[in-house]
Amino acid sequence: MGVLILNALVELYDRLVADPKADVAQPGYCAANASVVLVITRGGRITSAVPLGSQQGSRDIPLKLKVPDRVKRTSGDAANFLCDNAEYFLGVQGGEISERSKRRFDLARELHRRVLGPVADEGAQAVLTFFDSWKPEDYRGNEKLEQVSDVLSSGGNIVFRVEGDSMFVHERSAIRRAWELYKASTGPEVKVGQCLITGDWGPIARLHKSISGIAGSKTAQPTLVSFNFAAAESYGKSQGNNSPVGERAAFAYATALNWLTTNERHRMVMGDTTVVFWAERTGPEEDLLLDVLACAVGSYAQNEPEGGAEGVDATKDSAHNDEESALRVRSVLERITRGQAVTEDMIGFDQDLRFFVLGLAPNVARVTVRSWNANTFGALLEHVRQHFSDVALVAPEVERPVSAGRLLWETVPAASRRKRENVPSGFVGPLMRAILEGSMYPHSLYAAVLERVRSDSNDPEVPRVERKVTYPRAAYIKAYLKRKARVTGNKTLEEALTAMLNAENKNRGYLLGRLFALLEKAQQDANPGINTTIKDRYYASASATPGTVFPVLLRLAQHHIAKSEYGGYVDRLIEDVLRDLDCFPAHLNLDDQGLFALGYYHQKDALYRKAEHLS
Amino acid sequence: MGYGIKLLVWGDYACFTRPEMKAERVSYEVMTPSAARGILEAIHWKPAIRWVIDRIHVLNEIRFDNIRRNEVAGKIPTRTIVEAMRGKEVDLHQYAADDRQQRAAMLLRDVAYVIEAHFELTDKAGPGDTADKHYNMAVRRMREGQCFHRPYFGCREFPVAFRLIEGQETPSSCHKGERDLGWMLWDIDFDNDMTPRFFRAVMRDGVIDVPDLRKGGGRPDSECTGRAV
Repeated sequence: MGVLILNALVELYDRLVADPKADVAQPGYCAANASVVLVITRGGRITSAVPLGSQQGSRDIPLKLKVPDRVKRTSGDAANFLCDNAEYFLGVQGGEISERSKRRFDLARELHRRVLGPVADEGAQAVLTFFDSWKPEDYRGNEKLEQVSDVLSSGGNIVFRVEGDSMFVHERSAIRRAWELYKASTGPEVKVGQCLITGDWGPIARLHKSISGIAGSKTAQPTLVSFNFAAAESYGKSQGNNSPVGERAAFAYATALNWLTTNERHRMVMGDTTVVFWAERTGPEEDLLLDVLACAVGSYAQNEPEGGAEGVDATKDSAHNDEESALRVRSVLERITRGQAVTEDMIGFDQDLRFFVLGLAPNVARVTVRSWNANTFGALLEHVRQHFSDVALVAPEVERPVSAGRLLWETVPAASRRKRENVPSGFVGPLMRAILEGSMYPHSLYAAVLERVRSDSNDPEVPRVERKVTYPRAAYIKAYLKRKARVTGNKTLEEALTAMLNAENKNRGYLLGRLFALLEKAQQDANPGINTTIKDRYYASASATPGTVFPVLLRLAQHHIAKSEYGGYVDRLIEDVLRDLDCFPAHLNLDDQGLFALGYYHQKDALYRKAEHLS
Repeated sequence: MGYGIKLLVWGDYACFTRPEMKAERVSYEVMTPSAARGILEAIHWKPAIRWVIDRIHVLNEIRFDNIRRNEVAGKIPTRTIVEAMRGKEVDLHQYAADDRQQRAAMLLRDVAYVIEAHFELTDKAGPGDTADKHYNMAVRRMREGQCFHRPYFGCREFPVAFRLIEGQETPSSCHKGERDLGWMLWDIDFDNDMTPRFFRAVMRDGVIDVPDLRKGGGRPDSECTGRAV
């Protein structure tokens, strides 16, 4: 810790800008989509209009270009330089000429005259002549533009190229210089102040760039730093002056963050939170941690109950530098996800490399910081390993440990699992913190999981197989209790909480849970194929007030055992458990109820496995 | 500096909002000097004195938590108040239910600090305002738990419990080693168009030395001395 969010992002930008492969925009420029290139002569006449980008099925995928920085258009008219839509560049919107489109075209012409007027470059002159000679009325009957009229009508952006030139007009060096000069000289009444990121004195950014790729955002342009309602402003200051961030730093952090949120490998969605990860520098350490955290957080595909195809399998598409390091990363990854120590394998990894995890969520037109973690590679790896070891639980057919994203879905009633907004937002931050910092798991989530276990049985909407004590729920209950036992120094309990059934665990709640599973088994044996078992009617009361329920159930079981073919076997198991129970307590507290669920889960699993062996 | 005080402050929650994340609040990791000044001023302040924060001891582990709450989005415009003062019939109410803004906050849990501070007499001090008198007033108020208004940790909702440390040992911090906290809000320069000023906060064994930027303090190698206030 000790590193600030924006500082870390600015550092990331500096790293990315130096890396030719990373492909991020320079100050004064940004990435934008372009759909059409207008090829113009030196005399400003259109010779052709060529669609850019590619087609994917029936969809046109525009070309991503680095273009001069664009204005933030919320309302009103504002033209962009050398990359804008048909309304601004041709004075035509959707094939129609209106007062508004004429006005906007004039605005664009004015802007280009101002920026390019003094530039002695033939590209600049060609564009200027184009703007001077073009009349919106020319659009009709222009067969060159007709071919791209669909794309233009839907608002695709236009860029320019001079006939016979290999680059776009906005890429010409003289024009780039003119743009940078213009940017530096204008800027609406620039205020000078101390930048709170770098500490340097300089011009302060008035507006901050918006952040794309935030899942669930209701607006297209949410910003991380914004003051979009009166109560957020102080000392009579407005907009960016409320928080002096230097122009360059503001550009750098937003560009870096946008790079992260649009880069599938660095981004993951968990509930309503978009989580981004990055390291101080690229290398095997970053690869490994990205993979490990992808397992811990879970890609979105796993969370989606319908099984969306959006997610990525982190281990498959990771860009490992060479085969040897890829192999090493994989072996460590496997040990980590099994919760095993990795000391020997770690030789060669830089333990002190810093790693950052930032959780962002949308709120109105703003981006909220849900969680922030800056830690060293070694510490983070150890915390995640501890997490995997805590959630480790025997399961019928699961290879990977339960991911945090999957777990969050388990707190949502099955009927509402369609939308990720239904995942309670309050759990994400604390759960991320627990995983990344090795602290206590959130109690609120534990209570919510238990609540779901209790209430699901009475819910006819829930599919039969997935109800009650599911694998992810049991895994979290176990993890929560185990970590709590460790933090509070309860050694006996910590050791008793194992991945598989532990016959040595003499905790009351655990034994009662096991007993309940056995009683259910006795019932099922007596009535094969039975639809509703005691679980459906008695689970909630058995786990909360065993004193009133178990005597009844035990009497019932005697009847089942007598009737059933293999009754004797279950009877012996019941006796084993009963031997360690001195009484049926009147109440179980929340911790014991968790143990009850775990005992039930373990015992069911053990019975199931035994049955498999026999057959 | 003969009139320095040490005040132990603690509470369940704190939010020392970073200026850049003010709409959706994110707290600094530790108390800012201006928040410490606010606490002292809540206990004792007169126009004749100015509190100067010398050091902040961070006693507890730095722990974050998230909450979301409904707040009001608007402010009562100054214009309306001016009109009301001129005797015009205007509505001065704020209707919270109609003017909602849900805001998230990442704040601190279970904080405890020791504020080391002293005060200086300002040019508003009259002949009766001696340092001795104000020192004794402040110390008496701190001993007895008196305050003009309830001191708070960054937001009014997070009250401060306080106790004067006299003669006893300063409670020890759980932090060891050096930790760079980056540029942190020092205070607002009220004489100069209310310009926020920042200083480089470094925590050494849990203690942050606070420069007096009004006097051009700060680390000699840092840029924050670049401009006189």
